Amino acid sequence: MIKAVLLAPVHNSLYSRLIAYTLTKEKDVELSAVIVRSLWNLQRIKSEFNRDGARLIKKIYQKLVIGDQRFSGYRGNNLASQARQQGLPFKNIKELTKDLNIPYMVVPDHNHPKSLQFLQKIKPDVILFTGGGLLRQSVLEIPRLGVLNCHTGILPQYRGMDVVEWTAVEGKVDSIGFGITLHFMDNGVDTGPILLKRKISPEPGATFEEIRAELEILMVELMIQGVRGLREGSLVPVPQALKEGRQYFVMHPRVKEVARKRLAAQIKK
Amino acid sequence: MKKNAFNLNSFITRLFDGCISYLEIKDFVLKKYFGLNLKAIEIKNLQRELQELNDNLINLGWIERKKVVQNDTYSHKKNLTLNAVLWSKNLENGRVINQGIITKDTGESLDFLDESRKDLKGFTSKAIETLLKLMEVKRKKALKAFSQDLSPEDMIQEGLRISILFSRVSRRHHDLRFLNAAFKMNDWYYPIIKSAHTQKLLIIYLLALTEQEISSVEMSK
Repeated sequence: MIKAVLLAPVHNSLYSRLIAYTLTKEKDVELSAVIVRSLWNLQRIKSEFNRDGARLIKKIYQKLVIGDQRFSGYRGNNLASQARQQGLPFKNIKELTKDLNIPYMVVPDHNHPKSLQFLQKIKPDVILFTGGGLLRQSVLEIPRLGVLNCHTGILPQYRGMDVVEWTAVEGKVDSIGFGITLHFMDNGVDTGPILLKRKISPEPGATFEEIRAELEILMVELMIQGVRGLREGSLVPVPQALKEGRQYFVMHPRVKEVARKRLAAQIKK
Repeated sequence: MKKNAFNLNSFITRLFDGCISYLEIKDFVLKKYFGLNLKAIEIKNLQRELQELNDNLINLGWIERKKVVQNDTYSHKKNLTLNAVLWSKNLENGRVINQGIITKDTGESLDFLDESRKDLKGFTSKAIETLLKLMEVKRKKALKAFSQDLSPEDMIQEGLRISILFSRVSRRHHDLRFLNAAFKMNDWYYPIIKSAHTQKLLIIYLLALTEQEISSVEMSK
């Protein structure tokens, strides 16, 4: 039996809900608690505004108003279609935890003392991080095995933000490709030991949004696969060769425009 | 209802993902460039920058001939590079950033070192990478304090020199992460320079914008 705690970025994250729901059906896995970062928190708004600037208003609108409907215009599978296939009955995490009798807590920040105390009491084997800011060492050292994160890019080459777009703009779709990496978190940005990787081959004409939608489904699968591997002891974390990669940051709209053109050219082949 | 939400989403995306467009930049640069008072006493020490600005405008195909009479400002570069080497030797703890504070003259000095001192490549590339990370993580906050007390105008100038460094590094090393950062920095400074500025700041900002556009042309190839 492996004890897991899930950390979620917002109460309605579909990614977090799918992982939590799938975990509850998994044999010899106990989802011991779900901790959600509260949305209306001044410190959070300040730090995200500092990072995203005015784009934060767009993000809030998309998360709160558009929600699961954001996938409506996409071709192919996405988290919403996956949720329908699995018959996910819950609209938010609170509903899910209440119905399945899982301890639930809302915290201003995942590093908040309230969160630390709660985690120390539970003593999880593993924490599944599904978003919500950076984690401090005090959180990272609590679980016996580590904190799992699924990164939307291939590590060690592409660390940081907007790496799907960076892979395209740097012309690395053929050589490195699009994919996801399951790794243990450490103090750096996407620098922790790697557990699993998965690549995809997008269809010609695919947009960044569609590629991300495809990756998000795999992220749920890889998280679950990671938990299974840790439970069975079949996964060996491999330290990253950091010199083989670089850290990337939020992409400016003008660079993104070039990335779109290069994506189309690369996956046309 | 759903359709309205998506129309609003598309509007919000355009509104908040926006940046200064190429055409807006070109229009701004040319308008301000032709309005420069080259006899103003405050720009007498900016001959090198004016010459570089002229060259950039010609390279971009935005003007056909030089407005300023060319003089041999490039020959001063050797001295400036020697100053930059001296600057690097006097850095506190040998670092350009100490406790999140950028050392004065970082943008200009690293630019000279990166361009002409291959023997210092290890130091320069590490310093530029650290500077990029600081700018991306702390954003505008990173430009609010320097290792010496500076006037608000001098702080803007320091920031613009870093933006120029990033645009040039992006071209020299074919690393778009730096142009990405320069785009963001020049977007931040646009409303400031547009509303109030001195001739000196304006010239440096125009240079920063043209450096960005030259790198952008390279990127699009």
